[in-house]
Amino acid sequence: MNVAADMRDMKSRPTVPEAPSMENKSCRARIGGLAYSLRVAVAGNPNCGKTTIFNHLTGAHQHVGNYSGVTVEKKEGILRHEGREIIFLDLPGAYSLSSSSQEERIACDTLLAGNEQAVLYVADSGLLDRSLLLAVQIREMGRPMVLACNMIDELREQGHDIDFDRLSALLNVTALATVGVSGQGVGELLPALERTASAEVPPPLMVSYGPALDPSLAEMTDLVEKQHPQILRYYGDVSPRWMALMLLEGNETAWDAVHASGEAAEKAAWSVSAKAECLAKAQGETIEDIIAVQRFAFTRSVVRDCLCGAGEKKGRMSLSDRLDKALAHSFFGAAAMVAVLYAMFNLVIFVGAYPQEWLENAFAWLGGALRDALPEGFFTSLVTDGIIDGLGGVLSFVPLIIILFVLIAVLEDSGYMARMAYIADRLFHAFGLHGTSVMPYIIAGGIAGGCAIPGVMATRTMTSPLERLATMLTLPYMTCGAKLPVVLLLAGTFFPENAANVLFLVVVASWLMAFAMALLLRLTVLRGPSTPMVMEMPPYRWPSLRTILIHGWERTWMYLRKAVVVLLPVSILLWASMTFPSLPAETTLDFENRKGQLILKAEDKSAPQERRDALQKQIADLDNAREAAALRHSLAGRIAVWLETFTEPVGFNWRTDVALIGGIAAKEAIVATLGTAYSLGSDVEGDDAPLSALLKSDPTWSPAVALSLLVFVLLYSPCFVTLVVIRQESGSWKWVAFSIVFNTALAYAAAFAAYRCALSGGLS
Amino acid sequence: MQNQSALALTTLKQGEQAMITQVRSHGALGRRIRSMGLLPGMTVTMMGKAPMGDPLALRVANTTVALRKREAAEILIVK
Repeated sequence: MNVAADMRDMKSRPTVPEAPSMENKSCRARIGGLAYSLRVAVAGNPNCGKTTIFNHLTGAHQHVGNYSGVTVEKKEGILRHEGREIIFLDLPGAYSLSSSSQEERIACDTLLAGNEQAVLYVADSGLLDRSLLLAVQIREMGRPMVLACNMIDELREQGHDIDFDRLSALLNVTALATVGVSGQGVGELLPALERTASAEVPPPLMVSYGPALDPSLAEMTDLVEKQHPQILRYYGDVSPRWMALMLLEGNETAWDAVHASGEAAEKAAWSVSAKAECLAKAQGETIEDIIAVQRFAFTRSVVRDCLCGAGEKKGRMSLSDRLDKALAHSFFGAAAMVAVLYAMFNLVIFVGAYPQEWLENAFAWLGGALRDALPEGFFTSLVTDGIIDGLGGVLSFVPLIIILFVLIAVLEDSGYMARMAYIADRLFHAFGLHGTSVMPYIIAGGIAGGCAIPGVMATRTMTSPLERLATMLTLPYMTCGAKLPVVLLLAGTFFPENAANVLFLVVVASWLMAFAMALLLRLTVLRGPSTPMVMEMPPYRWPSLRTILIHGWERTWMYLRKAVVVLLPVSILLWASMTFPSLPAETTLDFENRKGQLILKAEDKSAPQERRDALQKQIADLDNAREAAALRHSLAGRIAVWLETFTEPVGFNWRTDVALIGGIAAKEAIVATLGTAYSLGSDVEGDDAPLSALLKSDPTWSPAVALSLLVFVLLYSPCFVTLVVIRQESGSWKWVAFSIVFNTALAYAAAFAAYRCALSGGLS
Repeated sequence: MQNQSALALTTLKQGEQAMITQVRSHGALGRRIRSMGLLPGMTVTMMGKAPMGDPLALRVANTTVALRKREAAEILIVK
């Protein structure tokens, strides 16, 4: 233990929570006068089925947000039970209250604040000794508890059972059996919670830490309780002995509280802690080891006392171990992972394509209907081209996102996600990332066709902050589905013999670029030690359908809310910049006159059919030419023309520039805008042939330009929705600005290099 | 609890079992490792290695824990 380091640390982190009003000494009274409502904190290890129980209790009445200042999900659910309102707060999964990770810190701080009248602790019955480690700590703190021994069916299948009366008595809790997946026993938790909350607060649990630590612990307890009771003033009814234990353990939160209690308290605590450390050292041990070993010995003795039954059958690990022989194998495991990812990707893209198409068609139909119904003019254009197209762009991704999140939830709940992180860790770690980065990368388009939006959102499953940011900022380089049309158009036009190879190279290049940039970020702006991997690989289990659906829904809803709020104004802005200023009256009049004359000629029934068809085509051409002229005249067009000087070194003309501007709204817009700028009308999707032919015949285009544009599109600024999601997930506009500026600068530099190399290589 | 024949956990071969004698990691990481059941006196089994030999999969306290070699090297064992 390093008290000195802890003391240095805490000066930079004044995280002591707000002091509650002093007259409310009891945590029971501190609920703003709402005596009828009951607040319950739900705690437990990761993978113990905590979320399943939480979902069973609260159903869809959940509120998902973030804990202030961090990106850890905060979930609250409300339940009405016999006229009372019960609020459940789902704490992040944790293994201890030693605050070694963000999640554990939050769990610890929430429990310390004591705003909940009872703790519902969910334990994995098959792993009772380790599961109880955290429960014991919460009871040592002094919180009243209902202990749900979850997955009791697995334990009973093995021929064991738990003596619940004995367990309840040993820990001074109400212990009950539950099966989260089926909901068995969940209903009995509510009356137990109400009884626990209305009864007298039980005395805190006393665990002996042996002759090496108990004297020091007693001394520190005395210091906290009698000499400097102000240390405890921030926390609702925390056991002084628990606070003393945290101080001896070197817990940062506890030392913060001591630091805030004045110099005398700090000095005294420091001296007791230093003495304890010396005592432990004299026995060749550390305080951390003593605490951990003794506490584990305690939970094991509790389990020995309470576990009954012969246990003839094999443990649940045996099937899991057999699966792991293949799925976590050092060679076949990697192959299996690629296969799983590939299957998943196909499922998302192919199954998701249908509802996506329906939604797109529905919006196109709506736009068309409104265009017909409303008088021609800017208002109609705003509604159809601005709002409907913008909304359609956001909403058409929803099916993909739902499917994706459902699949991610399956992978998470089945236990396979941990195996993927395990298998990929060596590779990702080499570039300053983490094994858990593999999923977001793949979703974002690691296998061509993904989407950066759910990719950024999938970084939620990562718990290491620096690696998470590095992943989030580099995954937009992946070949997402919206970049594919550009790749296919350019490859088909300029490298027709090697189109497939070009696509493959693009995917490889995107991975290399993402890895290289992740490494660069981790060595510069995101410099810091890599988060160690200490990860449980839970046994494989069938995921619960209910949990998966709730999971998928709430994440989708979050995406929708944010995306619509931000994207709508942005798409209107983009529409305006591509519409205004409109063509001057005389130009418009000229177009109208010419069109009128053509229409008159075309309506002449005496002319031969071919002549009339030719005239119709001339009318369409004229309309397209007018659209192109309007685009060039608009603000976006003018910016693009102005940009031409800067993009000339990478080989782009103003038409390409305006398409790239459109691509910031959504990469799907690139090919469509290019079509408009080349006077083909924006409806070039599905039929690239005219655009392809035009590009080929345009003297400003060449294979070198195509290569340069490919590189640029791959790397430049993420689309708006991705930026919105980056803001949401990173919690800062700083990283949004970084993504726009850095990625575009990088894209320019890389495109320049590619262009020059191609030119000198004779690709002109 | 220093033991002359103590070896690093990384020396364990697949399927081999040993007893932990010392965990040398401290601070947050040390507490994290300990909270997973990697403690002096516990029996640990090497379940396997990920592609390219890192991280390791360990069986301890009836669970499987993945740990990178760098962290595993700080855990001492006797066979």
